[in-house]
Amino acid sequence: MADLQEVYARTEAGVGEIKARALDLTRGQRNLLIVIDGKNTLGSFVKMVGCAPEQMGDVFVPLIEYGLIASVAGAANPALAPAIPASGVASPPGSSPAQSLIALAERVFEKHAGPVVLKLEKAAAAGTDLLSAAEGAAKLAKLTIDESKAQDFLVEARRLISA
Amino acid sequence: MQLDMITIIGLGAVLIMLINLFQVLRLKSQISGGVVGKSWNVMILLVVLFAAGYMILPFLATMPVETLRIIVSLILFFGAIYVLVTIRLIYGIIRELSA
Repeated sequence: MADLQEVYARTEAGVGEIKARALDLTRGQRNLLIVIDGKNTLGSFVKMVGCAPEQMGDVFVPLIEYGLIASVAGAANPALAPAIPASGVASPPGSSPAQSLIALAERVFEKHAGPVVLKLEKAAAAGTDLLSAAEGAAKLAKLTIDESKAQDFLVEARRLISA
Repeated sequence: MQLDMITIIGLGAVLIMLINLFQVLRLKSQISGGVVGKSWNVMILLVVLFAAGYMILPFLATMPVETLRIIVSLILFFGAIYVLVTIRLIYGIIRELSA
């Protein structure tokens, strides 16, 4: 059982894995790897990852075992990497919410998330207002993926941004 | 087959329609559903029909007049449907973007 009050951050290996997608991670594991930020507790990501709190251990433990994330508690860990967006571009202000949006898009749109994620990554890199980026991404999804999923994404994105 | 102006125009039409077919099929992978996705399968079907219909253009001169009239009528009919689907699609896109 994972300690949901613990704070974790990505390691250098974790950052590399986001770009390389070399490991056979589940969608939930990949989402958690993207949104984990070294600031918020593990429990705060439960909804974003899309699993029940009691299932968080199944998502979380493999990331620890692969050395992709590590606890930030106690002494500084030299292997820990600063948070960067999934695109690998320099972190604009508010990059963590942008990562959360990308994870949300991947969760909602699943295998069709590609164009939406790309749009969000471009918006994050350009420093565009997150709400505008989310609305634009939702419109794109409504036109080309699924209208109801787009609506769900927008509702969840607004809640996430306003949090 | 006689290579006159009508045949050249017909071959050009077939070539352009094959390009259209390639484009709609390629775009399909990027459009899994939504407002555009709903119309896209109809568009693909119509482009396939047009591509097949245009294939007879080089043989127009050898066809009986009655057959020719039926084929032209069908092409015009499906052409009208294609325009209708396209206009409705554009309207849907504009409505979504302006919402």
